[in-house]
Amino acid sequence: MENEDKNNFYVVPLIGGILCLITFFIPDMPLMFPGSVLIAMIFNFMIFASFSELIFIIFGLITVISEVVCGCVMLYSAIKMGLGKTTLKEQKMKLMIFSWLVIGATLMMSITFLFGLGFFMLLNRYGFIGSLMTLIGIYYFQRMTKRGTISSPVVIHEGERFKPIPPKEKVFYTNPKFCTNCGFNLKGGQFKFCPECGNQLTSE
Amino acid sequence: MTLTFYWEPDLVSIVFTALSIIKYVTLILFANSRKKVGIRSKNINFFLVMGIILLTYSAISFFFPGVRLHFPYSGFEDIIFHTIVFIYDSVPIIFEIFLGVVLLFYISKYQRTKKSLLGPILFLVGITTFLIFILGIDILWAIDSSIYSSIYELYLIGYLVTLFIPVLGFFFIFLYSIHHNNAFFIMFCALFFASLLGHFIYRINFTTYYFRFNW
Repeated sequence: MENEDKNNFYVVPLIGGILCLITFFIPDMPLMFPGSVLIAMIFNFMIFASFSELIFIIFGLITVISEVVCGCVMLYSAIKMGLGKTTLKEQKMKLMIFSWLVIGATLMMSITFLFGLGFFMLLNRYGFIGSLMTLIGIYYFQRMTKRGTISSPVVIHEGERFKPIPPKEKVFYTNPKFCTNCGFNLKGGQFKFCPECGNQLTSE
Repeated sequence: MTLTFYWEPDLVSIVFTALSIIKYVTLILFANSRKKVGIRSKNINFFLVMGIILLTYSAISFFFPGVRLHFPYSGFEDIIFHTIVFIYDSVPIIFEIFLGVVLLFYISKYQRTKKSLLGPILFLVGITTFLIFILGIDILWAIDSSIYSSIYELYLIGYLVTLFIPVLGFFFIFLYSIHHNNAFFIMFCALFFASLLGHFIYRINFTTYYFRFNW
């Protein structure tokens, strides 16, 4: 374990964003069309231009454009995290939203292919993998810092704070409005025992 | 000419070569970021050695010619063709096995639990079975090329089954690299995992396409 004081998580969305952008340059339709997905779509439109194929072209364009935009957002937040402007805690929701967007777009494209051609083909797979990696990394990091999965000494990263555990007397099962035994109305007050029947309301 | 060599660089091969070069440059940077204890033979930086070998191979392999075999061929040309295919298939996988061994030793040195050894062991076992499978199929085809069409479906399915285990293993190595918290190590593991998984999904697409249209 090295660099224990610095959090290097920013590399994961950086690679994810680069992979999302690389999709633009790699053909992901094996044996079918040369060129990138967008070029293939335009090529397809020029040759077999018809309304039945238009839906594929529109879905392909939506997927590719959303991947490029989401990849740019992921890259931007990764660079900001790498420069130390923000932390993962602040960027987490944004990264998760844009990764799920990319995954949803690629799966939507695959499902349209399933309906149109009759088999499931995962196009633009590099964007899919990049966003999947980002999501898995976020969940893993979350679990790792909560000392759940790997039994190792805890590493407290930058910008991370732990809530103090409340003392044992104040821990309630819930905040009951009525007594569980006799149904006495507690009126929002926090009682250890029910004033009517003496039933215990707290955990200890 | 029944055995022809060709070299046709296109956008795809350029992008993939650039990706692999970036991948192995990050490996070399990671190896350089580690402090050397001494200059004895015990403390050789194996990551640096592996990084230089893999970078050299990925840079040179861009210029390797492809080979085609046309129908009226002699036995000698057949042997040359299958030898070239054999070498092209086996050399990168053998390098990946060396990389797996180095990763296993590195992670076993810095491990906290035995759980972190799951990734490299799975990767090593999986990539070794993958190598054995690929070379076995190559040798079968070299011995008797008339069985090509009869075992092609077995080849497609077996390729996917044997490639799944190293992908799973490198997934655990990727998670370990996040835990290990070195920027270049995370970068290398993420890129390697992405290329492995991308290859895997490409083969799935290939296989489904084959079984759909069944040429």
